[in-house]
Amino acid sequence: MPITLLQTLAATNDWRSIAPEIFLGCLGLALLGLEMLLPKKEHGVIPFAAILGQGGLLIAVLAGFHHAADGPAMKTFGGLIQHDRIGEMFRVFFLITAVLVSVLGAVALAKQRMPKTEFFAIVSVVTAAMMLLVQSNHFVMLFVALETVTVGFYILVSYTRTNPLSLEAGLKYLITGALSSGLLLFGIVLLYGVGGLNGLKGTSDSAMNFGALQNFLAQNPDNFLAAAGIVLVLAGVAFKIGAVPFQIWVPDVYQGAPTPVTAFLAVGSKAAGFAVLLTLAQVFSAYAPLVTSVLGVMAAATILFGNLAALSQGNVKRLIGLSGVSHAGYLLLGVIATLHGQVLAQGAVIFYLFGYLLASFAVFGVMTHLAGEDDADQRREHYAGLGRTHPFLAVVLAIGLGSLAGIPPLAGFMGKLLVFIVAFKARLYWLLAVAVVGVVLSIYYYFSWIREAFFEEPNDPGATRQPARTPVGLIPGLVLTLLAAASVLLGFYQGGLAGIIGLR
Amino acid sequence: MIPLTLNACIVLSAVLFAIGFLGVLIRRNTLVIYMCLELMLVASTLALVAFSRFNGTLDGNVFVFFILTVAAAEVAVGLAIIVALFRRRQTIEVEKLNALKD
Amino acid sequence: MTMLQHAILVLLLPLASAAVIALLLRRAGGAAAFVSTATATAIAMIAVILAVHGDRFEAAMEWLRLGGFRLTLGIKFDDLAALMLCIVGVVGLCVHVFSLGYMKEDGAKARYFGGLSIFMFSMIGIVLADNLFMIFIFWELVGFSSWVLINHFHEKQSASEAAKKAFIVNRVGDFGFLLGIIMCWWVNGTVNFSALAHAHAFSTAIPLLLFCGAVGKSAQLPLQVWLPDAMEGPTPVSALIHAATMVAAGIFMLCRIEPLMVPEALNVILWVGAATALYAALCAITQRDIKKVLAYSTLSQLGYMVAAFGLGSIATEHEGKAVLVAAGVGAAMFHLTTHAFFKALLFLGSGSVIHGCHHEQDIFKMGGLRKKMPLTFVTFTIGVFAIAGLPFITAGFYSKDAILHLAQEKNTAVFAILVFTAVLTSFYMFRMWKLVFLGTPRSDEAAHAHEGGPSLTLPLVVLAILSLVGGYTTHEGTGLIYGDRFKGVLSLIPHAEGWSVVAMSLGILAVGAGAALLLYKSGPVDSLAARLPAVFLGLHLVKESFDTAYNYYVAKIQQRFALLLGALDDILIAGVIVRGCATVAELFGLGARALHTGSLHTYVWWFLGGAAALWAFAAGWFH
Repeated sequence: MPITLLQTLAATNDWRSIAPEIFLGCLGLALLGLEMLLPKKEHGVIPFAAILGQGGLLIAVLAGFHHAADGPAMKTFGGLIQHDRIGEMFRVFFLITAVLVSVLGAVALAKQRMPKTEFFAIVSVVTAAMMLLVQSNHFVMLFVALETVTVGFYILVSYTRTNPLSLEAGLKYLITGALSSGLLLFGIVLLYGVGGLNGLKGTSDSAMNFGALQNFLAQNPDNFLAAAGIVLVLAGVAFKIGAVPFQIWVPDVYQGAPTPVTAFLAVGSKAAGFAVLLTLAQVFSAYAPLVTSVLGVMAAATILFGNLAALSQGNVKRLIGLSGVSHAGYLLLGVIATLHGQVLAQGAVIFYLFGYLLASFAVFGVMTHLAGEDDADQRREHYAGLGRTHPFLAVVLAIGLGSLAGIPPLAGFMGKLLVFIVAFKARLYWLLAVAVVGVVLSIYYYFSWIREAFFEEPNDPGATRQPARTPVGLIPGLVLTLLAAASVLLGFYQGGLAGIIGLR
Repeated sequence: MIPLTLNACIVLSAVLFAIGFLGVLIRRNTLVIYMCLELMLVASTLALVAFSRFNGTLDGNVFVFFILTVAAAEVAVGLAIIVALFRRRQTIEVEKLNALKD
Repeated sequence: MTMLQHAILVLLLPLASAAVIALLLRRAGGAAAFVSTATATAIAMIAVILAVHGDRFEAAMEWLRLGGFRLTLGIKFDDLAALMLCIVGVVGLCVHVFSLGYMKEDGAKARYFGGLSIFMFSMIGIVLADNLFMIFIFWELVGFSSWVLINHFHEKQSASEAAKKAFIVNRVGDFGFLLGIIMCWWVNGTVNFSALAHAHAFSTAIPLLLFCGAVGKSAQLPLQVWLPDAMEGPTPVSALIHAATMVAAGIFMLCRIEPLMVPEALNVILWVGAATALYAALCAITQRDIKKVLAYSTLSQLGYMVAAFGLGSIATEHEGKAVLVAAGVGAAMFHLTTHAFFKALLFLGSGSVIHGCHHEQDIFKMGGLRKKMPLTFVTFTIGVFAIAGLPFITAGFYSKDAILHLAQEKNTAVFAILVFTAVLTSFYMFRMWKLVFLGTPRSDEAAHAHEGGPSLTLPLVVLAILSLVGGYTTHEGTGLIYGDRFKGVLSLIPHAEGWSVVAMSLGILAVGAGAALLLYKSGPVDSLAARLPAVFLGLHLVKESFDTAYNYYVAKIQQRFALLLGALDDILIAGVIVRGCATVAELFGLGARALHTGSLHTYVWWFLGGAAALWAFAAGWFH
């Protein structure tokens, strides 16, 4: 390879453009270093350091948001990474997620006799990988970032290694995750192979580059191998977002994983999947009929499966997992709408994700405080009488669940409304009907949970022993208040966020 | 002797992939399942190299190195989980690892 | 401050009050009562200022925009809204003051007054809303606050069940309402009232679907079942929510969407209203519970208003030209206004009686309260005369006769029903009046009854005065207490000419009241048959047979109907919806359990199936 080619490629290496990711990686290492340097009795500062580092970075990214987002979309590192408005928004999204997961982690880990530093280090690294994942413009970048996320999650899911349930969840996530990675990789290989195949139009030297691939697909709209590659890639992404039929791991893994990790999986991993899907939907736009029919069937099945399976679920971690499955279904509606040329659909999906973030973390925050020593055993009965004993947690829970259920005027309702409107404009009437049925079903189980917290008394203390509830500390209390308030505010007024997302 | 064509390579890769998948489906031992998963990754790598060679593009070859690295990381974490699980449960038969269910 | 700012203030004040009570004063019942009542005072004052100032305006701000889809939040303050706002403000203030005394001993005062504040907020929201979507939001909120307040004594099984019933039944109506709103938006492209006034597309379905909302909220047949049960709530709540304001919101909403009405829809509305008026009046006659009598009477009067609305416009001559006047709106709103005054008066009066009798509600265990509670007696009597329509001096006379006059012009059958209902109304009201206040006390509670403090009596006096003077209006739409501030509504009232109306009213009053006063002896009614010997029965054979026959029919019709509704209730609400949901949930739970086996191999099969299905998609098998 001539040295000049390498030089021209290296010229596009703009390290400053990925400074947030680099900072997060360094933060992870620094936390490990801090653990070695500090005497053992001062290890309590490590969670604070992690939250401070992630929070500081969040503020820095927010401060530079307009500068970064309003500029033209820019490709760096030889086209591996693309910086644009959506990527910048997901950076903010994942940083918020990281801060919240760290806060929940600090609360949850205090109850376990587990090493603490690694948790925050891995969360930081996984966050960095997610941020790279949504900005990737090349399948190599996408795969490596995705695998970094996934491997990080293997560790996080089985983090409480003294608990066999956590380990079992880790193993299940490991095997199903590796399987889906295999499918995804095979899909990538097929796309790469067919995109460089001699004798076809529009082939490219680097068919793994999204731009080149999009160009190639546009010129070969009826290629079986390309179609097979596309659906296999979609299968890999469907695993991440928990869409039928690749949702089956969700309840088991969500139940076994420590609650903060469950939250990270439910929000971070899912949002990363959707960010990738939004990008890929554009890349695959030449195959829109195939992609929309696949995603349409998936969306309908996902909504129905998630809601129906959640109806009678008594374990709240499984419940929130299954309800999360149904949320993936609603979000898929928005993704399909983008393929129908709805310019606002991307914004609607992102808004939904932000509303989902706020509501989910409000609920997970309450769950973290209610979890006992056995993190996997969190049943709805444990919430009986919460309204009387812990009115603050109960109200936060009610707002979070109400928002997830889509009760006006909370943020979740606005998110659903926006997604449904773009789906309506895209004429997805049947899917909308399914979604409305799903929403109606979901009210049943969300409200059973709220009812348990407010109207039931803890009966028969011997039969359903409630684990001791953790008192709410200053920072978690503040965070939960903020989440609940933001859920309400965003439902009433979404001007600022909607403007940034590009809804108006 | 079968001439080394692109088709032959791809068919071989597909067969390897299928064998891997089948192994994940039917084997009981977690370690063997894990090997089958690695086999699926290797099948993909084989196809990558073949495409790279016959299409005359370089990306595939580069990608292989990344895949190997990622696979190594996955193995490291995976084996750690399996070992920890074996210590707790004294078994790595998947059919016995079903405490988490509805 | 501009009038718009006043309007926003009057909307947000009760919300702030509710928030303060919920966040800070949950343990401080007295302070919560003070905050809530002070807020109600401010609301009443601002409402009057807004009305008197005479400024009528509309303002909206964009709330949400998505491409071509816009939702606005706005205030439409016309004469209709001004009138309704004054009613809500004045009656609300009276009820707040009354509650200070009535709920003095209650343990959960903060929850009660917080609930009242939320209710005031959501009710004012309905009044000021400038589009259907906004009305729907506040519609749900009043439903919620109504549920909270009915559920106030939630330790009582019946109270929590009544609250649940009210909630569920209202959802049925709201479902239709929501469909109507969506359809209206679809067809007309807007849900803003001012824009809808110029709508060109007319359909029968839209007004009827929207009417479903009113059927639920205003408790019309066949969704009337929740209102009598809602009397489980505290009496002041019954006065404010379940008599004067919230249940009237359905009529208010109908008046808002009047431009959308088509004759077929109006016809349906007319007959539903007339049927409700008659049915409820029949029911009221056999009730023993003082609040139940009033509840059925409320139902009946709401039926009156709905029927009045359904009668629609009449053509009159104005300055030589024939113009169509929305007389239905005028008559309905007029009756809504006077009804709000005298029914709130009656409910608060009954509250005073119940308070005085140590929470005895059975009218056959009362009696002789005329001497024990003179002020309550006088005001209650005014209320009874108002609802019965005593000519000239009571407000009820004018509003009821406006409706009867309109019915006479438009529909003879309905006119007959409404006249008959009016007779029944004065009959059961005087029956109750006599049993409660005349004669001698029939229980210890009644014997030791006493008048409450000024907070209990003052609202009665205010409402009694309003019940007397609230009916004087002229053709031009001015009124004694209204001035010319509500011309837009009051000028629509149809006015009957000549003495025939007075004669008819007197006739109705005389027949109804006379029959009641003659029929009922001041004594425990069951003893009439049981304790007295056969001679007595023989002497009163005519009366008895009349009574028996009447009871027989009413009991038959009512019981059959109640049975039918009970069965429907059991099958639909309890059986299908509640238990059905649980069963379905269990069923799917079984299915989900069967799928989530916990075994990795099963999960891998899912992946294989998924991959195969996707491959089939790629191969184009589904095209």
